[in-house]
Amino acid sequence: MAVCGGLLLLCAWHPWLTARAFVLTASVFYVIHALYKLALVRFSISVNSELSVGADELAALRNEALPVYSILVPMYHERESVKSLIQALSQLDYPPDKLDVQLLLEADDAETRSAVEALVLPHGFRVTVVPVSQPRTKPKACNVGLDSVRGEYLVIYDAEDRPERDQLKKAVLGFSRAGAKTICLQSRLNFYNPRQNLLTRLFTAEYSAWFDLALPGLSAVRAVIPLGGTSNHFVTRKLKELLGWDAFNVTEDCDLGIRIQRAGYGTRMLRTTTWEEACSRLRFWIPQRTRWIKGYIQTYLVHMRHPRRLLSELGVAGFLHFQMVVGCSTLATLLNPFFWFLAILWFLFRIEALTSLFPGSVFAMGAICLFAGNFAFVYLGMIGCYRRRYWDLVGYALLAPFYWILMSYSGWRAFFQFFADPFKWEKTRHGLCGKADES
Amino acid sequence: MGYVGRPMNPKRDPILWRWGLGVVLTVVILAAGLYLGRDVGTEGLVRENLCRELLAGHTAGRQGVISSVWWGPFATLVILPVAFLIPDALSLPASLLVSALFGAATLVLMEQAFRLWGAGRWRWLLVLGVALNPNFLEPCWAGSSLPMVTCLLVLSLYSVTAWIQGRRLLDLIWFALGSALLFGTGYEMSGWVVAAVCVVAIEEWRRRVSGTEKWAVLMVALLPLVYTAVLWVLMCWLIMGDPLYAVRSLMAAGPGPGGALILPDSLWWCYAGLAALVGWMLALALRGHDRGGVCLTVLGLALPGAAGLMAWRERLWDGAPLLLALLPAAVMALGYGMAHQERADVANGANAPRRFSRRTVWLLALMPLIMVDLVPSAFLGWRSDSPAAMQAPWLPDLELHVRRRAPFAKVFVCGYESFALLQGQTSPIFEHALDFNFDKSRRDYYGQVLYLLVHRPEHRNAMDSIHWKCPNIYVQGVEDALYDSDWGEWRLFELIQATTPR
Repeated sequence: MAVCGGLLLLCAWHPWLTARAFVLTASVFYVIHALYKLALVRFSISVNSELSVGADELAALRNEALPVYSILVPMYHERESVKSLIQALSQLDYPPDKLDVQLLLEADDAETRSAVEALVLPHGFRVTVVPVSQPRTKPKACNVGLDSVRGEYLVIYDAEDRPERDQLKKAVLGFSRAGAKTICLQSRLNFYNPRQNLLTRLFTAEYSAWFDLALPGLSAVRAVIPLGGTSNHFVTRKLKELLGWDAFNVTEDCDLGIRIQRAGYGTRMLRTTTWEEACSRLRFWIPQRTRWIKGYIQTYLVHMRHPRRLLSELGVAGFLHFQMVVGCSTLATLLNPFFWFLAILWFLFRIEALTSLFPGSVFAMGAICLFAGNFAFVYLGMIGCYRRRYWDLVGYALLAPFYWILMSYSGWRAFFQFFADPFKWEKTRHGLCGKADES
Repeated sequence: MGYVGRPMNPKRDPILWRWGLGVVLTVVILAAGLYLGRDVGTEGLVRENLCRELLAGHTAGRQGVISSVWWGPFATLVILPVAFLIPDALSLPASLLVSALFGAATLVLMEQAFRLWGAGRWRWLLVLGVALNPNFLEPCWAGSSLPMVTCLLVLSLYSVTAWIQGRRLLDLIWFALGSALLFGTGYEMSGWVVAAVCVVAIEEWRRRVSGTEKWAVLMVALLPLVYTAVLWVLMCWLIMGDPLYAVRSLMAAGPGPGGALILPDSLWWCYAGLAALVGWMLALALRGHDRGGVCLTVLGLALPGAAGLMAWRERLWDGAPLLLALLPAAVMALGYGMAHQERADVANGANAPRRFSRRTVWLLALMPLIMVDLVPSAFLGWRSDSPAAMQAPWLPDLELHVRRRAPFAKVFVCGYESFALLQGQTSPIFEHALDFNFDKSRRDYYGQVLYLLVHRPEHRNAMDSIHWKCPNIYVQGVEDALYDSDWGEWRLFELIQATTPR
């Protein structure tokens, strides 16, 4: 608040100078952010950045040697997903007697409960009812489930998830190989309905760039990894040590990823995919993105409450990674509209006053960001699709700038919502994709 | 020498070694240049001063970056961050540092390519052959854009060969970026870049994969190049008001104005020998059905081919970078062929000393071809665009001459060489003019005595906008400007201020 107040005062005292300082700072920020993202991708493509498990290693695993694996599935108004979820989890290649699947159902969610009750649950499945209490969030449900898990390892899936069949076995082998400090493995996420409409195509391009390029890059340099909502595998004992999830955070996954690193542990990427449903309707996509960005803002401010402590816990490199991954990504979403607006103003009306905002070197940086930085981000989307072998989506990645507009709109919505209703959980509606496509 | 099909050597060198080697080589190149007393050439001076103008926010800087095919934007922009970091007062020119960096990067890339192709320790001999060649070193010392061209060419050559052999995404990305940036260094490389893209397209067309996959590969490979071209056009439109401004000189000018090539004539046969060497490697690759080798050598031969086209259009000066880049391309082809032969020997069970001696004999036999231009260079001297030509002792006299006529006169110095000519000049009477407009100047400096300083239209100076806008200005003057006097290679014209009714 003090910083905001100071900035407002400065703005009132000398608006033009403040504007120039703002443009300069933002230009430097953009250059650093773009270079950082490119470096991550470079690492992710060239270095052996993920834990990968071969088929021969999986075949050599003996069932009796496998530990009990717990699966938490928080569900709320997911009646339509129940059947497919149970089917997907039943098909996991893991001994049923070593599976401990908890369906976390809210006490007041009669529709999902009745849908579950109508089915005969397979061996190893059970229902845990989450009592009605505030906050009404997914992490709170997960914490309730965590209390009664039996497995040595634990994974979170969403109701619409379809993990690869051998994912749990890969995670067991991954943990055994990653070392004692690694207490979390993040699987890649992608969509089973990428070609449903333009929105899902662009969403898929973004997800592919994030989970197949950026996160493996973070994993390669052992940086903080903001976990991705679902398919996070944990060492249960360690997760309990960390007291589970922050029930008030609307991106509890991202927060937990940071806390893992702060506690001196680490997260690695695991080469396996969980298929999800891409949100295909804009009216649901925007609230979902709003929640994610709001959660990032929340997470950033929570951890930056004591920056010195954060610095000492994460180390200089970890601290800078945190600033880049959590802080700068959010900030870029918020800043973009200003600079798009300035660029449009200049291109259309050639307002001379704007040029004085961009003196020599700032102009050069701004031009590089505008023309090289934006291109780099579009190109990364293409590479993400290429790497995922979504050949037909490579071209769609060119439309990413339109997608960025939606992101910035959601970003500002999140910013205002952060002050107005910080713990509001805008639930994403699933089951809109009909038949999943071939992926 | 036969070829055998085999996977590339997956062993990669540590990143620190690569960077360390790069830094050491940069320092060595810089130190050698300084020890031998080499000066930065005209091109280096022009680029550096352009960057300084750009950093100062002057229009001339913005215009200079994009308005000519002679000075491709990327070759200038890459100096920008270095010029920003190195203060003007420091005696180390940014263009020199950038050239040395790219020169070192070229050598490191070549070494890495040979290593990945499975070459033995003899690869260092090949790298040394390039490093000691004056046609490689002198441009590094002159702050020229040539080391940048060479580096990007080696990167593109290596990555396209690796892509054809291994289909690694990273190689495709490097090729795409390398070729796009190569195009950004100057128009003369566009022919070669198109040839390289065609090679990738043909390769994709031959593969038995889905159409969407082929398109995806082509999009990833082509997008940076297309974007660079579109961006160049867009910038021309925004800054110069004409989307095709940069290529107007090519469209408007007739046959090139002649002039000597950057190389002494005695070196032509040496480059013909290098082309023959690449041709020989191509024949071997064709015999061994080695697609990677064919691609590498065909693209190597495309360099003298494109230079030949330039010569046919009487633009010998423009073809020089293509010819000079043939040296590393030929060495790459040679290293590739020898590495293959080495693997064949290993497969046939030849022992290490025998393999080493065979390679060494080959190299010793071929080294003279790589190094032969050392001798004529030592005698004839490497003809760089020496800054000595740009030192203008007459500049103070010119200023006096103009001030005698009117104390507040203005002299517009046309073309890119104005950035070298006015190096260190603080006099307010001189002004750069990359896109000179007679009417606008009269309006902006109403009532003042105005002069125009125009360079003789030779070599690439003939491509300056003043020459394609007013083709005969140097010889005949124009109706808006009267001949005043000659100053070295430059001619001074006085602008007629009184407007005639039309």
